[in-house]
Amino acid sequence: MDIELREVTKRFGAKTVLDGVSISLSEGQVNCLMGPSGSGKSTIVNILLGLLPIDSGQVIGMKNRKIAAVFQEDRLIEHWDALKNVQLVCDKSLTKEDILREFQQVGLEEDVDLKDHRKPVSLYSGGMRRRVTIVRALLAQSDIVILDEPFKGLDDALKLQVIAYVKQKTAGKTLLVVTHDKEEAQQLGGNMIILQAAV
Amino acid sequence: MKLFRSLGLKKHRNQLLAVLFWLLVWEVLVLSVDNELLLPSPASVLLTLLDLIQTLDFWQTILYSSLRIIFGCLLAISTGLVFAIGAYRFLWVKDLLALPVKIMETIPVACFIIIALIWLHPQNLSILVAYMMVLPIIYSNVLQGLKSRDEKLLQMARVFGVSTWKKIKAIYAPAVRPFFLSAVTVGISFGWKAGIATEIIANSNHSIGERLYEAKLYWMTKEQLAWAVVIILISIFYEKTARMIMRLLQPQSET
Ligand SMILES: Nc1ncnc2c1ncn2[C@@H]1O[C@H](COP(=O)(O)OP(=O)(O)O)[C@@H](O)[C@H]1O
Ligand SMILES: [Mg+2]
Repeated sequence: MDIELREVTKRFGAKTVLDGVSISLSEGQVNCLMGPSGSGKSTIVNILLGLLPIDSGQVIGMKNRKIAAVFQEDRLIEHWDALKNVQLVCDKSLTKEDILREFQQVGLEEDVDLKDHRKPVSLYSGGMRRRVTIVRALLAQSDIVILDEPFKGLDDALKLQVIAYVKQKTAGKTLLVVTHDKEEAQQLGGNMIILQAAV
Repeated sequence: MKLFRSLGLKKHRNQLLAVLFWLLVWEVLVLSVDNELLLPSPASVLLTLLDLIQTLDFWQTILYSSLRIIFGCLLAISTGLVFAIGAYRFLWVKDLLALPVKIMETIPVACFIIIALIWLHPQNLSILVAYMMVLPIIYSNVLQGLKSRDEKLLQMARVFGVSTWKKIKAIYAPAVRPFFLSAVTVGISFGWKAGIATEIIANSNHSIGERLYEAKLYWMTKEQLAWAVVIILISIFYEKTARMIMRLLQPQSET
């Protein structure tokens, strides 16, 4: 069953952010949600995650689903190291070595290796933190993965590497990636959803 | 390294100098009053103290007072924690507790003691008074700590289906810990003071309060001051012990 928003309206006070918006995500595929800043992309993400009530319309296909997400903000446990942050959400059967191998795939091995993994994520750079959130989302058990501007703060070379990693890890799952970068969307491929700014 | 060590030394040296300064002020006052009965010198108080600590009665008295007051404090710490969690989870608990907590917060200790004496035996009254003084401190601080948790992290945990136990470890405990730590240290010194005050007013047998009361009755000023010093030292001791225990409770990887 596809995931859909039907005629969804969302207001914050007097401000209408989503005005009868309808979108649908292709099940088991890559979906890119694009739109200018302030057009309501993160609002849609929060609605799909069940964190925001809507004023009218319908959300279809999100009940009883296992979801993993990268939020617009990192939402990491600041005083914990990267490893513990990932372990918080993933299955116990994943060993420390398994997780460290994933960190390696997104180029974090130098910072998160065995001797230094105790460093709290609050001391990481923005790009490093972002990659920790990506690994966290992709190692959690899920059938829907929602990523809100996951590649923020990554330089181009790293971005390609991380995009390849995301595609490999989410193959067969329903993936929604929010971005306002056309190139990113092209590299990801798949179903393109363009959101107009509400007036 | 060298700089740090000398800085540390300097800090302690200044503290020491400050203590010496106040002892000097005391000595000057002694000289101007010139009456052992009204104001004994630091040296004679120290000598009295040295006499005291050689008696078995001294240690028994301290043990007697401590057992009761610390028991009251520990009871308040554990129930305060439970009440705060209840109040955080259920609004009706918070509403129900609002009035008694307000009363405990605002009532003067002496007032509470003489009221309690109407119904209760003076012997164990310090347990109750310490409890009543410490409970609101723990309760309101822990509640404040719980409310300071990061709502966005809780949302994250909900999306990922993180278990309640892990949520407590990752999100609630770190938010509450600093509030709890300061509440416990403040609470224990408050509870200790209130407990001693209770012993004095209620004249509880074999207690520090009773010793103070007797010393006052017979104009044994040196003994009174010696006991005051003991009370202060014990208070510092318990505060430091509480801090140490809390540090041990803190997981290694969290700073
Ligand atoms: N909690 C909120 N309260 C009030 N206004 C909000 C809130 N969240 C988002 N908005 C507003 O909604 C609009 C869309 O926000 P958002 O969904 O974050 O946009 P995008 O992610 O596309 O940049 C913005 O104008 C923002 O100011
Ligand atoms: Mg956004």
